[in-house]
Amino acid sequence: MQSNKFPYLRVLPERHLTEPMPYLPLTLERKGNIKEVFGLLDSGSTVNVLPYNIGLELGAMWEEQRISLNLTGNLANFEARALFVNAQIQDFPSVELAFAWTKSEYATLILGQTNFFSEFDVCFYRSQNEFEIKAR
Amino acid sequence: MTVTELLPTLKALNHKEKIRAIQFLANEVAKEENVVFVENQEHEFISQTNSFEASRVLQKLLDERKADAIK
Repeated sequence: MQSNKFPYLRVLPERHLTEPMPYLPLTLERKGNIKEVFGLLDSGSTVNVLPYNIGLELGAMWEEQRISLNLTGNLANFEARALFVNAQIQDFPSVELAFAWTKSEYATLILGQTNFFSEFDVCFYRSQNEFEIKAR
Repeated sequence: MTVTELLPTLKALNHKEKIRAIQFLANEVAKEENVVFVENQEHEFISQTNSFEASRVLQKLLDERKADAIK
């Protein structure tokens, strides 16, 4: 089974997070629009979250997304809608990710249980500052 | 291949592709330095630990899309 290892990354500019975090580099694609991003692997998150500006850069129109979603915490006050995006991680087969596309431009791109962790198995080796992704 | 050789090709890219090339290079440098640049990071990160309803809705839509793809 294919598996790739990635380093924990230090976040810049340093404001809140000073420790390295498991940010995964991936390429998002939607209807021919491509965006290189880093997603935070968050096994405690129930959903994937896509910041507003990244959805726009992928060519998504807010008004065309009909399915509303309710998010929690600091995103509870922002509207969110379902958006499906193809994701490519290195040489893994491309997968379709379901995102809660939030109207907040200040959200972190989160990779959560639905559905990133359904598509990939993830092992965290924090003491070694790396994590491993395996295709399911 | 050198940067000098690449420059004419980069110059010929359209605006959208130039932006993508910039993003690509920034990400490559970040990976080499083990850092990530996070834009607009003004809010503290709070995990969506309790968004169970949103999770159910997205999973239902995924299941429907997979069923439609099989048909």
